[in-house]
Formats: sequence, structure tokens, C-alpha cells
Amino acid sequence: MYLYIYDSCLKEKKYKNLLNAIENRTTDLDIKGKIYQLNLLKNVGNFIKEEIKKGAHTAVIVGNDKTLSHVIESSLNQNITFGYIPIDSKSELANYFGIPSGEIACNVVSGRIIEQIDVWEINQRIFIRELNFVSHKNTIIKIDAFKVIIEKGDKINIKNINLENNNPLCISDPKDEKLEICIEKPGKLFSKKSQHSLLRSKTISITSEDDSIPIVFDDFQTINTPVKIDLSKNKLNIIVGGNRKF
Amino acid sequence: MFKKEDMHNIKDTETIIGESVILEGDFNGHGNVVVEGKLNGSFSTDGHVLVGENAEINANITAKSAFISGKISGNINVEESLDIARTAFIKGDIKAQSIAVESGCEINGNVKIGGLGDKQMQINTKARNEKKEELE
Repeated sequence: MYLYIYDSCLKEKKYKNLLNAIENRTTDLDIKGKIYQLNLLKNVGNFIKEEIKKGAHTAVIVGNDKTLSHVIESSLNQNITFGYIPIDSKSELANYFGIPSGEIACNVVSGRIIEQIDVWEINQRIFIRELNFVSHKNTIIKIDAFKVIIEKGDKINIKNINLENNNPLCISDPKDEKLEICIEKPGKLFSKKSQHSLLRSKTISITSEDDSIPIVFDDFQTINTPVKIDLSKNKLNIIVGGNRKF
Repeated sequence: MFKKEDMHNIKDTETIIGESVILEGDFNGHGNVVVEGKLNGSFSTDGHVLVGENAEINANITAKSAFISGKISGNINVEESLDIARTAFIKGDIKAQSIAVESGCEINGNVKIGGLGDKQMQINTKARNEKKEELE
């Protein structure tokens, strides 16, 4: 049984035709299911948990990358596979997973190519893409049995998924149970002189003399140092398209 | 062999320790590693290590093969070939299956070439001075 989780913005009139097209397509492909509209007062995790008891096996998120991350975070520990129907063509995650936007994405859901990817915890919060921050004075990244002391002003990008295919530094594999840590001096990325660093690890902690470095993760959530990053015991089962980039 | 011209071939490099960072502790890596920054502690990898001109390492180094053009205080133990560039400054003992030393580098320590120990020699002088003497 399929569940369709709609972003709250889909109540707007401008999405009516798109939703009609999606619902018609799911009927044609025989993957129709119960619809749930996200809102601030209800917990989507509880809804999915109850529906699994009734036989639900797939939760399809209809919305944008932010909607997808929100639903995954609330239901990752549930035994369910996630599908994704992006409502606009700018979705970076959809592009990475090989999912076209709009009702055509229903074909991908129906195709059921399921990939299992790593999910990471940062101080018990979940992220699947990456985290970014700029180092302050005496920022230290502890990795395994060593620590890396970073100069003030360096850009740090810790990736599970490499959405920028043009960046030769980070060849991230979302299934290798490792994060890629890219440290670069601003403006020196492709400099001949090696001003960048690249390390890989499974367990990372970040501290700073100034304990309030804001770290942005999955592009829209923020957490302050000190932080500890670990591989989550839960993996993300997601339906992907043939054109996926991993 | 992991030559200097390969140092920016990022695709083949598992780890890069850039100029802007200092690494402290025990580094046990896999694959090819480029060191351009500072490293204090110990270092080992099952691949190649390239130590850049500006690198400063205070650690014993163990690797499959190595190209050194920076400053190292510590022993170097290389399973296969070791290339030492003219800009290298090494204070410590060296052990490798084969060694290529460029004129101008500085080595202070014992050098052991091959596995049997029959080619051991003591180098406590600048390679460039040795070359000058040879010419005279």
C-alpha cells in the first residue's frame, strides 16, 4: 500500500492541475494510495507508523527537497521505503536520484528501483546531503585517532552526497559509510597550489575555541558547535530513477 | 611510481592534507595521500605518499612508496620506491627497497636500501656538498 505525503504548500490553487495529473497517473499505474497533507499541528511520523500497521510499505513525498528531508527525519526508524515526486524541476536531490519533476515521477515510483543509502546523525539530528560551515579561530575536526586544526576563514564542506558533479575534490559515495571532508581556502579551489584538504571518515567531532560556529546541514537546518557526527544505524530506502548519479 | 607531476591528479588521491591545516595524532590512511601542510604524530598508508615542498612533518612515515620534497623529522619506512627531491630536508633514518636522490636535498640519518641490509650507509651531510666534492 502506498502513502502520498503532500507538502502544505500544495493546498494552493496553482498546484491543482499538477495534483490532478499526479493522481490520474498513480491511478493509471495502479499505485494509488492514501493522501496525507503536512501541517504544523500533526506529526507525520505518527501517521506513517499507524499506516505501516495497516500494511503501508511506501511513503511517497510530494513536494520539494525540504519536504523530503522533513519526512525522512520524522520516519527514518520506520520500516518503510520512500518515493519522491518533486513539484519543480530545480530539486537537487531529485536530479541526483534520477527523478523527473511532476507527474512523470510517478513512472519512477512505479518502477521501484530501490537504493539503500547512508544517513548521518549530527547531535542526534538527521542529515543525508551535506553540512557546511566557515571555520573560526582554532576550529578542530577530530577524526579517528587524530585531529585537524583549521585556519580561520576556511570553508568546510562535509558530504554524504555530492550534488556538484563539477567538483573533482569530493567524489562522495552515499553507500560507502564514509563522509568526505573538504576543507578549502576561499577562492583557491582549483589553484595549482594545494590549498585544499580532503579527508574521509565515519566518526567526526567538531569543536572550536569559539563554541558557537553555526553549521548548516542539508541546506536549511542549523546547529551550533560542538557537534558529533556518526553514521545512523538506519539506512534510507529510496526509490530512484535509471538516471541517478550514483 | 607516484611522481611530482601526479600531485594534482586528485582522482587518484584518497587524502589531501592541504597547506592550511595542521594534523596532529596518529594517521592511518588508505590509498594515495598528499601532504602539503603540517603533520605531527605518526603517519602510515598502504598506498603512495607525496610530501610537498611546503610540508612540515614531525612523524615516522610508513608507506608503500613515497615522493618527498618537503621537511621531515622522523624515520621513513617505504616498502617499494622512495624518491627524494632537491628541496627535501630529512632528519631521520630511511629504509626503502629502492631510493632515487636528487642533488641538493639534505639527509641526516641512516639509509638502508633493499631488504638484506647489505647496502646500508651513513649520510650525515648535504647531498649537494657531496656532489661538489665529487666534481673536485
